[in-house]
Amino acid sequence: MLAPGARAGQPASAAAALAAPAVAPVSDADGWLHRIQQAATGSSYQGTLTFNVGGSTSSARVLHHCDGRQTYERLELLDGESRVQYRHNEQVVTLWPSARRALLETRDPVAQFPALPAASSARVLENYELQKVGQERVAGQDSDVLLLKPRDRLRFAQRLWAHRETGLLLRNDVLGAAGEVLESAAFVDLRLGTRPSAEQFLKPMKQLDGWRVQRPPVERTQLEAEGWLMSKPVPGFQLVSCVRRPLDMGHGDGTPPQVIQSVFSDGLAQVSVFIERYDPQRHVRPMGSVTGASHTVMARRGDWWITVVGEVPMATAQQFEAGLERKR
Amino acid sequence: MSNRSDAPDPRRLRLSSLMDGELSGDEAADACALWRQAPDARADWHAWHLVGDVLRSDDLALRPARDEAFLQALRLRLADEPVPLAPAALQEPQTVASTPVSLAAHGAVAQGLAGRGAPRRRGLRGWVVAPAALAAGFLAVVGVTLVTRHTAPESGPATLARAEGPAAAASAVLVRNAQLDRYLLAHRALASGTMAGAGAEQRMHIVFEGR
Repeated sequence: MLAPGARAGQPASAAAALAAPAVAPVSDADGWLHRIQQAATGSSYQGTLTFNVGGSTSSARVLHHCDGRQTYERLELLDGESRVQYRHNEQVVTLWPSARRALLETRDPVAQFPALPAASSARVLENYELQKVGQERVAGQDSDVLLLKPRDRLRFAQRLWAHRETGLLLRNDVLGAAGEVLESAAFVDLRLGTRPSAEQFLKPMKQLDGWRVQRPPVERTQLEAEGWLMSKPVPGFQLVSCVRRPLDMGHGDGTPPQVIQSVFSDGLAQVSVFIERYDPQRHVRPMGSVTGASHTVMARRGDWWITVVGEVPMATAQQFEAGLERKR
Repeated sequence: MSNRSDAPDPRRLRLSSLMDGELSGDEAADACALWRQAPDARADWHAWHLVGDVLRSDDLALRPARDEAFLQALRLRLADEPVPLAPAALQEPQTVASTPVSLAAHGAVAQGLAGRGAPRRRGLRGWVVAPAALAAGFLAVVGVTLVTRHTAPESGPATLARAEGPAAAASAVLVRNAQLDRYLLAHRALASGTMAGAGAEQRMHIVFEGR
C-alpha cells in the first residue's frame, strides 16, 4: 500500500493540530455546528470556490441566495467542460452549454461546501470531537479554525475555517492520519449579504427549449428488498438513502447500467455502496484506488459487482465491502 | 476482435489476440513485427483502440490526428534518446509474494481493455507483460499511461521491456479512468452533493489490484 501522505504536502500546523494534546474540546460543539450549517443554507453570499482534490485544482463561482424559506443557488465550474448548476431547494438543473444538455434531478438539501452534510450535530459529535485550534484570515475574512477529530480510525479528521461574524465555512480540509491535507475546498473571495432576484435562478432552470433534457430515473428502494444486508455494519455509519439509478446519463446511446446506490453517513463522512450485476466487459478486476480523500474499492461477489466509494480511509471502504451480504 | 465482418485474416486475428492479451513469446513478437511493418495493421490497431476508448467515454473521442501527432512527437523524442530496448533484469516479485494483491502500475492498460469485447480476461496480464520487442511507441497508442514495472511471477521469459523514454519517468500509477470517474461522480452527486473537482481531470491513484 502506498501511504496517502506521500502524495500531499504536509503543513506543519495540521500535524501539530492533530498531535497537540493541549487543545481542549469546545464546550458548545453543538452550537458551533448549528451556526455553520445555518450560515451555509440560510444566508446569502457569492464568491469563488477552489477545490484541491488529489493534486488537481479546480474552481467554481457560487451565488447562493436564501430569502427565508426558499433557497437558490447557481454554481458554475470554471475548469474543463463548461457546466452550470442551478438549484431551487431540492430541484437541481445541471447545464452543459456546449453540448446543449440539461440534467434534471431531485436532490437532498444542500450538502456541499460551504455546507456540511445535513445530519444532526449530535450524530457528528458521536463520531468526532470538535476542537478549537486558533484564528486565521481566509479569503479576506477573519475566521475561527476548528478541528473535527475522529474518535476512531474509521474516518478522517476535518479542519474547518468558520467566518468569525456569521459562522459560514470559508475553508474545509480533509486530513489524513498524519495530518496531511487530502483535499480542500475554500473560498478565495467572498461577498456576504448579496440580494439577487429569484428569477435570476428560476429562468434558466425553465428555459430549456432546444436543450437535450435528461431526467435520470431514480427509484427509492431498500437494501433488504434488493436481497442485500449490511450484516457487519461499520461502526458510526448509518444508512441514509438507497436508490436504484442509472450510473450516468451522459455517455453513449445505449441503456446505461443500473446500479443500487446505498449511502451511509457518520454525520460528516459519506460512503456510497454501489451494487450491480457483474459484467465482465466493464468489471475487469478488483482494485482499490484513491483520489484526494475518496477511496474506492471494487470487488466481484459471484454474479454481482460491488463498488464502495467514500471520503474515508481505505480500510473503512474495505470494511463496507466485506460487511455486505447477499441474502438470496 | 469480433467487430470485423470481413473474412478473418489470420494476421489480423493475431493482432487482435495480442490486443486481448492472449499472445506471448514468439507469437507476440510476430504480431509486434507485423504492427511495425504493415501500415494497415497499425491502422487497425489504432481504430480498435479508438473504438474501445469511445465506448468507454465520450471524453476519449479524440481526433485520430491527435494520436498521430503524439506518436510522431514521441518517435522524434525517442530517436534523440539512448533507449535500452534490451530486456531489463527480471525483477523479483517480492511485493506479490508477500501480499495477495499486486502493486500494479498498469491500471490504465487493464481498465483500457474494458468494453473492447475481449472474450477472456485471463489475458490482460499477458498483454501487459508484453515482450521486449514492444517498443515504447507501440504502447503509446494505448494512450494514457506507460507501464514501467510489472511483478507478475508467471511472466516467464517474456519480461516487460522497461521503456525508459521521457514519458516513462513520470509516475505510472496516476491514471485517468473514465469508469472510476462515474462512480465517484455518482457518489459525490448523491452523497455529498458536491461537484468538487468535477471540472478538473480526476487523477486516480491505483493502490492495489487483484486478479
